[in-house]
Amino acid sequence: MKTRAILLLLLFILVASGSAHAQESILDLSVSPDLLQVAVGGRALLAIEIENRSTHEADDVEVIWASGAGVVPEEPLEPIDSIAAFSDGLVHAIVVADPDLEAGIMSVPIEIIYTYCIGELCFQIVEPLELMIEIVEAAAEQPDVVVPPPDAESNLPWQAGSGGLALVLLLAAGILRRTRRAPWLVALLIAVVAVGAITIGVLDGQHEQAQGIGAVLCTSCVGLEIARTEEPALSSEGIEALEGITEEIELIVFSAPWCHACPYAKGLVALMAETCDRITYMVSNVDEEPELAELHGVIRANRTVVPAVLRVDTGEVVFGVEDLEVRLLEMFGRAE
Amino acid sequence: MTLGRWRRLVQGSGILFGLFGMTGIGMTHIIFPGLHCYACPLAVTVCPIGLMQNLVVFGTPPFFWLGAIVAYGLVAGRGFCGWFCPFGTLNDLLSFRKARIRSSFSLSKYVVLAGTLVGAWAFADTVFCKFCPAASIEASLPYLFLGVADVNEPFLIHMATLGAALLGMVLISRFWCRYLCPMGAVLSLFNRVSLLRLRLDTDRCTECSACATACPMGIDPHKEHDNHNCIKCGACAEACKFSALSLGFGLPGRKKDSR
Repeated sequence: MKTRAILLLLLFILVASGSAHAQESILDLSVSPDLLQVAVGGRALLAIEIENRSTHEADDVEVIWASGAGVVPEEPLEPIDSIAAFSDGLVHAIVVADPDLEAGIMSVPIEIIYTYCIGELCFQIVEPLELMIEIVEAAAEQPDVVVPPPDAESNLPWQAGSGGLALVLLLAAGILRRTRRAPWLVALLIAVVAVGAITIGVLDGQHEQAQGIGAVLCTSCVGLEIARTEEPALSSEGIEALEGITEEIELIVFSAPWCHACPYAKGLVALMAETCDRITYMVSNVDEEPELAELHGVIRANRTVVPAVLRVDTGEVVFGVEDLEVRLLEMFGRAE
Repeated sequence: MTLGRWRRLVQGSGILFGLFGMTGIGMTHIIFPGLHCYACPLAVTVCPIGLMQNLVVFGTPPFFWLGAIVAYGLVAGRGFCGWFCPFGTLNDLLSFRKARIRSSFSLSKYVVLAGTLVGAWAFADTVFCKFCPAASIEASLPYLFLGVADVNEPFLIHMATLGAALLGMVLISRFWCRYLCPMGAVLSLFNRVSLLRLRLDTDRCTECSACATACPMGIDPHKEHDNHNCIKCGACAEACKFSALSLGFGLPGRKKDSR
């Protein structure tokens, strides 16, 4: 009986701790444009960017609009089946403003609902988001609003077909090798596969991808430190130290979308900026803006290292996420 | 110049190529034909195993990677392990005991390869890199001295795997290449069709087994000269007094090779 009670207690602690961890949000939401302008009775295009900054997949991501909001989507929004770990999702919506609305700025509450699972435990998260909308007087001529086509990132069927062909050629080479009848043909087939695959890869930009992966060093990727995936939090000492900052501090957080340690660094700096209004920051994606990292010298031994936090006025840089709060406070001159 | 000296020369060029970043050249588009960490401060090439894991994580069809690997495989197969790979050279330098152990154990490198792929897929991360002893030497230690990394848990894991790999190399020649290298596992798939080949003249072979004694990979070249584990280092050809074995380029599947 006693053993059973202990086991039940352990199970409860396990589930409770798992739940406590899992109830955290795993998506970063942003809206483009920040302030959407819609004419009275008119239409406008809104983009909701959803960034999954966790190691878990977010499933059934749905945007729910408050009823009677005055500005509503023209058509029901398509849910996103899943957003893989460390990747992005995008929801475009053409919204229509009620003809009875008055000009001015209004906020429209929406909710992003999604689920994610850790092992057997699955959780539904409801994330509120406020849309800031400026209602303007109707223009004489309404501009045409259309949803942009999705980015053509990958031509998978075409690529899968080519991959299948390569496989067939390799198999053919293997069979020929078995028969030992035409060794030159075997070599030729393999050479064709190699040249063909490299050509397709280069046309698809995969050589640039390979170079990019090699040129940027993510501190957790090769095991220089452990990627922290928990929600960033400030210690009470850290909050106290931040509240004592009197000078303006401008930071740049250098990150890459595929870097597992970067979301923590971004989150912690955002938290510091929320706590202390003297701190301002911007985030730079080194894949998109390598020249900015180069300009600020966030490079060690020919590698752009991410995550990195740069203090612009002094040029000091902190790499990685280990003891990040303490090291950033040291950089601000606020460490104990 | 003897074959052995040629090999040392080429191995030296492999190390120089691996450290070409000392000239100030940054990362290029070239995939390295061996195990060489792209995080190495002096690397100018991309590690094929690191890239492979990233492609799995991103879900990118690996055409560029596949093309490079197939090209390397066609040219020399595991010959790159014996002649070019810097980590293979380190194995070579520590090969004091040419132990011969059941060849079936060498299949373990395919398990490592499969584990590397599954690990990347399951954890959406470059899991193998966290244990890779080449990364221990080429990334963990340099970045510790550059002030980017600290002595922390991942660093100690790297040092532990490096220590274990070095110990293995000292006890069993080419230990890493034989049993654990995922890149060796990939290149071995092409060993029997590669242009760099070990040839056997059966008329000259007396089956004295001098080649087997010399082989750092613990195989019997006079019995299985196109073995998937053969790194084509040419040690057997040098050891053969009757010139029954020779190393050179040629089309695969020549009938006089077989016995």
